[in-house]
Amino acid sequence: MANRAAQQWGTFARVWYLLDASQQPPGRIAALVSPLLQGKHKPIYHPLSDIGDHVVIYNTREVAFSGDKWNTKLYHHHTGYPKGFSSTKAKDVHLLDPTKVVHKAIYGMLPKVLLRRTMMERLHLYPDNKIPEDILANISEQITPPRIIPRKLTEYSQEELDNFPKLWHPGEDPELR
Amino acid sequence: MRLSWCLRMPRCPPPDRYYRKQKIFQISKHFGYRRANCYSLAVRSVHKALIYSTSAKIKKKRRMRKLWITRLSAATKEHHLKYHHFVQNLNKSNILLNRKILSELAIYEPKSFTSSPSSVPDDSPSPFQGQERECSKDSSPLFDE
Amino acid sequence: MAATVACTCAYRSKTFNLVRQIRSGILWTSNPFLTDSKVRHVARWYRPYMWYLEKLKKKAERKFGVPLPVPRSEHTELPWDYDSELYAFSQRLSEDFNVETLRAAFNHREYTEDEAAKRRELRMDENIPLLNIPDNEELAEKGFIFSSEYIKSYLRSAYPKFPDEGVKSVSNYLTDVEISCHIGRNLGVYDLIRYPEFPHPEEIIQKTFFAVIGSLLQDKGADRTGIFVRDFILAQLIGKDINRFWDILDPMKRLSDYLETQKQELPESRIIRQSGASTLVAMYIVGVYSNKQILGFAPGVSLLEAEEEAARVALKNIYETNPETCAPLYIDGSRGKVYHNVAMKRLQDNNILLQLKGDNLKMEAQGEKMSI
Repeated sequence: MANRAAQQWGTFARVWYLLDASQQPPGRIAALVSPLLQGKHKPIYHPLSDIGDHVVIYNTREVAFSGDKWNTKLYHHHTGYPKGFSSTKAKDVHLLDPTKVVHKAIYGMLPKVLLRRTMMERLHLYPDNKIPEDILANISEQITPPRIIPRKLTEYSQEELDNFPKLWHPGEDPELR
Repeated sequence: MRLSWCLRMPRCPPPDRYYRKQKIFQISKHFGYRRANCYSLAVRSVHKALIYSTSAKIKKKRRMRKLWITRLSAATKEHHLKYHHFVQNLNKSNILLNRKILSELAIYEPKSFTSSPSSVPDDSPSPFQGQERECSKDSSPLFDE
Repeated sequence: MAATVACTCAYRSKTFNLVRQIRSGILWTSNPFLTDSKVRHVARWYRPYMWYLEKLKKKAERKFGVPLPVPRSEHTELPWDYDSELYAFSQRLSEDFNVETLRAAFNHREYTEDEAAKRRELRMDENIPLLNIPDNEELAEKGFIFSSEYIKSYLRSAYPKFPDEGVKSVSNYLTDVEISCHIGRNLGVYDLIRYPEFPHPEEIIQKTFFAVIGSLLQDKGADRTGIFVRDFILAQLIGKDINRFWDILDPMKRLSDYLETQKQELPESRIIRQSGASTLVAMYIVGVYSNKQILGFAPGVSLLEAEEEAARVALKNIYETNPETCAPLYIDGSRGKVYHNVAMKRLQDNNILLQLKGDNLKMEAQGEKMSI
């Protein structure tokens, strides 16, 4: 056991996590990240103490909504003036700012308290895989993305395709082939 | 002899009125606006405040239990275990520590917290055993090596 | 007793008298709680009256100052019987003291001198038996030497690998003013002290406490006193980390020296984990290895600090005093009995008990001198 000061330094140290957002749904990213930002994964958690960790998310441009959410999901806004209401499709928001969708998902999943802005300060979002050097130097752990990415048909080699078990073979008929 | 002279005496205030009011003002000292210094307003808000404090005492117990459970689930997750499995195993192995003590153990005595199964008999399931399948690497992405 | 009156008159003040009058109920006019009648409330004059008294008290305090503390013997309404207090003290500790030895343990040389001077002033006869009580100088020294020696040998048997330097610093901590004063006060030594100055200085409480131990040694023998020291002084170590009393300077050098004597490979430090390296609150965990075996690890602000702390942890592991991996200090039960017997045997082997039995203490050779 180290002395009390060192022990405390180790206990309250902030860990930096890294997460690849490519092909991940924003909601599942937020569900994974928001307890980390709050510090809910630590036994010393208290809602009033600021003990959350840092999370660096890259490739946010490549997040994947399921279903037709890019077209149907709407982000609403009201200016406060009459006729000030507007709503934007998720795909339009994503085109304007590629980190916005993830940002809004995580912001919405944090508790609605004064500490929310402070927690969001510890979230670092990057649209592609270009992360600044000083941020990269801090990172100590990598999070496994929540969703197992399915491989595209083009990513399979010919050998794997040939060995894949088939229910029915088209035969020699040139029209079917 | 006339005995009704006392009825014609001017009415005087009770001797301890000032001190009775001070008792209320001591509580309402930190309230805002006129509620701090005007007696008729102060006494109402003091009564309301005392009711709030009583109900808060009950709510505090609920809130604290919630906090201990959050802490315990964090502590058990470090050992690749879910909270409800942990509690189930505690019951099975007849460990009668409450959530408060367990969460304090997890903070101040992490090693004792980990070794708590060593204190239960061998044939009963220990709180940190046999749950690998539930929390495999895929489902707990945080703690992979 | 003439002595007590003489030494406390100066501390009485008007404030004290007023408070005393209020407390003792001289100023009450009648019963405010109206217990005789069927009215179930406190009389209306009661609260204003209490406020008034409180105001008077505060006013008096402002004018004459807060009353100085008075000895316990002045507090009681009944006359203070010193002899029965001495008897009660020994009964409270469940120790069968000789009353005369105990009386000597509480009697300081300054008190006797002070009394003699006062009597000379009053032209009283100096041969009144009160002044013939021996003072506690010798008892205190005996008690101090015995306690520190016992603590050291007990710790040596409990922590066989802990170096002498460390044992000495733990013993110094336990026999220091802070701890011994704390124990003495809680055992009720304070009220029985005979010393002209009041409130008594801390050093005097410490000295008296060791004099009580000295008198126990004289009356009941070393074995009984050893158990007393173990139960009251060593018990202060419960829940404390004994490494914290010994500050190791340059732990890395000490560690490599140790490994050299053990003919093992020299220590090698490696980063185990790090986080926030480019921030102001960076955290590094460094481990110290020898022959690819980890000796200890610790977190720190910088690599250097973490390495030093890791070396300290490695030393704790080697000395088997790391509270995380080693059993706590036993002071009771069968293991406590074993430690006590070993400690007593060690004291006998070192002739410390023999030296303490003699009238003249010749402990200067060992460099042990009471720090009062």
